[in-house]
Amino acid sequence: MPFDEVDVRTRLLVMILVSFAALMLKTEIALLLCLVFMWIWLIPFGCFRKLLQCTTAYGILFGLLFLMKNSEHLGNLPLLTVYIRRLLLPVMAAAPVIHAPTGSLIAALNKLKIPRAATLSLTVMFRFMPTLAEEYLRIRESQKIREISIFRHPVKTAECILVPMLIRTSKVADELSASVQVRGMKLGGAYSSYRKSEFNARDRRLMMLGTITVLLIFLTDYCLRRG
Amino acid sequence: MLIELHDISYKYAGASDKSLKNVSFTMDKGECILLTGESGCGKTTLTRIINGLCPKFYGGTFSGSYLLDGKNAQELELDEIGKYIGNVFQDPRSQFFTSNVTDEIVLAMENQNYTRERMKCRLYEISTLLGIENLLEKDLLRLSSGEKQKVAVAAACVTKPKILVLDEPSANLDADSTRQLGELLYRLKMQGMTIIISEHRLEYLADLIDKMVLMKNGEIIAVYSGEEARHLSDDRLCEMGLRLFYPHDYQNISTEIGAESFLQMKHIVCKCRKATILDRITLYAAKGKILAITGRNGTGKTTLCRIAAGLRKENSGDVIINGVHIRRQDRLKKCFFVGQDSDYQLYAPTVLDEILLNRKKTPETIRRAEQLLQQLDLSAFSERHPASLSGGQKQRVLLAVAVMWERPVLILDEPTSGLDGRHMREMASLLRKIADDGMCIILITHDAELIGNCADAVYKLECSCLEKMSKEVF
Amino acid sequence: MKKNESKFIGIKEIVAVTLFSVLTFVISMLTAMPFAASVHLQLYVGYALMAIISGPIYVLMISKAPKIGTQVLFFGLKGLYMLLMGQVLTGIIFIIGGVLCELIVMGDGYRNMVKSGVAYALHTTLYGLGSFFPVIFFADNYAKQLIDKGYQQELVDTMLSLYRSPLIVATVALVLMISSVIGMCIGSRMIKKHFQPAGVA
Repeated sequence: MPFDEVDVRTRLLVMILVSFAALMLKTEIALLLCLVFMWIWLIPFGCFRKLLQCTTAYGILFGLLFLMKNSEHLGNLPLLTVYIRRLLLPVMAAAPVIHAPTGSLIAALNKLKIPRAATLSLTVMFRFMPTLAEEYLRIRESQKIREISIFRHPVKTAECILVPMLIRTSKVADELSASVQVRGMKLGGAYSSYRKSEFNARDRRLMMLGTITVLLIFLTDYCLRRG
Repeated sequence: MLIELHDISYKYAGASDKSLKNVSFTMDKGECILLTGESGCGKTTLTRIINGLCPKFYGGTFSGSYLLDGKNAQELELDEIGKYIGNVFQDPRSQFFTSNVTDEIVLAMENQNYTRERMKCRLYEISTLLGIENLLEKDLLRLSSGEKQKVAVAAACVTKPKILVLDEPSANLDADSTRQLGELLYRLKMQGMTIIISEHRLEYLADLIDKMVLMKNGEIIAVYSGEEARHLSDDRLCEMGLRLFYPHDYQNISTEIGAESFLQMKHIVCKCRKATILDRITLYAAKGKILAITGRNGTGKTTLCRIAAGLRKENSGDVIINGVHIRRQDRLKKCFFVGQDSDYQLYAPTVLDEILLNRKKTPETIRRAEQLLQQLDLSAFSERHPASLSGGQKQRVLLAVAVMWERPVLILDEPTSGLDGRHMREMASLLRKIADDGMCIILITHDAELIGNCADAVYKLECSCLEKMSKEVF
Repeated sequence: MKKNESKFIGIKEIVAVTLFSVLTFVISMLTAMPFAASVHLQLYVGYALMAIISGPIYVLMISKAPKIGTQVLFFGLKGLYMLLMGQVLTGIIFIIGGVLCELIVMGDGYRNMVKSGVAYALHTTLYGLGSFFPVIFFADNYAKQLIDKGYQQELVDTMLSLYRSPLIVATVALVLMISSVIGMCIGSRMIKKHFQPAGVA
C-alpha cells in the first residue's frame, strides 16, 4: 500500500489531532468533514475494513438520531448516539497506528523518548487486545456444551467466564514475559532498533497537510456557528 | 563440557514435593539430547533450570551447582544466560511478543544492541538456513502452527546461541510440520548447534539424537546413547511409558464403518468469508465405533466436527442423527465436544466438582464420578484444582466430564497431544471401552499410535475434501 | 540463592498488569452496553457490575505484582487511552488518580487489604465518574448537535442535567464505592477458592 512507509509518529500526530477535533467540534458539518478526512487518510494505508465498519456505524447512529426525534421516552439514547459517533473518529484515526508492524511502533516510541516500561506496556496492549476477544469466545463456546446459560445461572456463568479467563491471562502473561526475558529484554540497558523511525519529505508534507486540514475544519466549524 | 549440572534439586514455590531430586547431567558441544519420560517426570523443569527460568523467574528453592560454559549460572542474569541459550516453547500464541515475523526474529538482536547492518545480515542468514524467507514481514497471527514454530526457532537462533533448548515443540503440529521441524533441527545440528529437546513424540527425532535421558518422578533413571535408544524394542518403550520411535504402518484399518451409521453428515459445505473450508463433505459414524479424522492442520477437521456438535452453522448440507435430520441447536444436546485447549474448558475448584458441574449431585452421580476418576487414574487428584494439573491430566479430566454427560456422540479434538505413551495407550483403551458400551466416538488426531490402538476407521481431510484412507502412513 | 528482589515493577509485572488492566477496561465496556438505553440502569446497575466483576481481577493482579508502579500502570493505562481518544482532561485525571492510588498503597499496602481496597475504590469511582467529565465540560458541543436536529431545548437540558446534578454524582460515587468493596470481598474469596490452588496467585 502507498502509505506503508509513513513514519508512525506522523500517524500518531494525525490520530491525536483528530481525537482532539472529535471532542471540540460543535457542528455536524465539521464532524462530517472529519469523516471525509478519515476516508482520505485511511485508504492509502489499506485499512478498508475499519473504514467501512466505522462509516456504517456512523451512518446508522446518524439516522437513528432523526428517527428518535419525536419520541420522548428514550431517555438518554439520543445523547449516547452523539457521544458514540464522536468516538468513532479517533478509532478510525488509530487504525494506521495499530496496523503498523510492532517494531515500527516501538521504534517511533523510542524516538519520542518514551520510557521503556511504557513502550513495553503499550506494545503488549496492542498485541493482545485482539487475542482477548478470541479467548472470550472460546470460553463461552465450551460453556454452551456444558449447558451453562447466562440466563439460568448468571452468577455461575460469570464465575465460569472469569476463572478460566484470569487463569489463561495469568499464564499468558508469565509465558510471554519469560519468552522475552530469555531473549535479553531488560528495562535498563542498551538496545538497538531494526526498524528505522525517520521523517522524510513526505512525512513532513503529510504532517503539515494533516495539521492544516484539521485547522480548516475548526475554521469551518467556527464560521458555521457564527453565521 | 558446555553444561554441567551437579546434584540439582528444585521445588516450585508453594509446591509440596520437589520437582527435581539430585539430578546430575552434562552436555558436550554439538550433542543433541532428548529428555523424555512420563508426564510430570520433571523434564520441563529441567529445561527451565538450564535456561535459568527456575529459579530466577519462577522462584522456588534450588540447590546444587550449574556451570554454563565454565561459568556459575547462578551468578548470571536471565538475559546473560540468554546469550548462551536460545529457547523454543510449547505454545506459539504466548511466546510471540510482536505481530510481525521480522520483528519477532530480530527481537533478540535488538536486545543485545546489534547494529542494523549486522541484524540484516543475520536475518538473511537465519531465514535462508531455515527456509522461511517467504514468511518475512508476514502477520504472525495468520501463520499456521508449523510456520509459527519455524519462526520461533529462527527467533531463538538468530543470535547464534551455543545451545538451543526446546520444550515439546511439536505439541500442536501435524505430522508434516513435525517432520519439517525435525529437518530444521538437523540443519542446525550440522551447523554445530547443541540441542536439548524435551519431548513425548519421538518419531521425528529418531535419527537426530546422540543421547536419550529418561526421567521419572524428578530423577534421571537411565541414559541411553543414540544407537541404544534407536534399538530399544517397542515393548521396552511401552514398558517405560514412552511412545515409539518408529510407529507402525497401520494396514489393518478398514475404511468402512461397517455397522449402520448413527451420525451422518451429507454434503456439508462451509465457507468463511470467501474461502471454502469444506466442500460437500460426507461422513458416517456409527455407535460402538471410533472414527478418526486426520489431515494437515488448517484443512477443516475441527470446523467439520464443530458443525457436527452444533457449535457452528454449515452453509449447506445435512446432519442426520439416528435417521432424523437435526437442527444446529439440537445437536448441542446430542454431541459432546471436547476441544483442544483444556484451559478454556475447566471451571470448577476441584476435579470432582468439575465432573459434576451442572449435574445433580446425588450419591449415584458422585459414585459414578469417582468410578470414572479411578478408570482414568485420577483418583489422587479428585480434590485438586483442575488448573493445577499437568496438560495430560487435564485432558483426562475432560474425558471424564464427557463420559459423565452420557450424550450419544463424543467428539474429541486432539485428545492425546502432549500425552506420554502410557497415558495415550490408556486413553486408547478407555475410548475403546466407552465405544463398546455404545457411544459413537469421533477423534480428530495426528497421533498415529492412537489411531492404530483404537480407531475402527480413518478419514483424511485434504484441502477441504474428504478421502478415505487406505494403507497410508500418517 | 536469590538476588534481592526489586521493589519496583519489572518486566514480568508490567506484562501482567497491562493485560489485567486491559481486561478490566474491556469489562467496563461490556457491562455498560446492555444498559445503554436507560441511563439510570447504566449508572447504577452497569457500574456496580463493572466494579464487582473487576474486583477479582484487581485482587489477582496485586497478588501477582505487589510492586511499586502497579497502581500507576493499572490506572494510568486507562488514562493514556483517554488521552489518545482526545479526552485530555479525563486522561490527566486518571493518571493523577493512578499516582494517588500508588501513594495509598505505599509501604505495606499490598499486604494490607484495607489499603488495597481503598485504592481500588478510588480507582473505580474515578473511572466511573470519568464518563461524566466530557459531558460536564463539553456539554455545549453535544447539546448543539441535538438542537440543530430539532430536538427541544428542554429535552436536551433534561438529558444533560442528569450528569450535572451533584446529587446524582454523589449517588453514583456511593454505588461505585460500595460495589468496589463487594468486588474486593468476592475477589479475596475467589483467590482462595481458585487462584491459589491453581497455582497462579
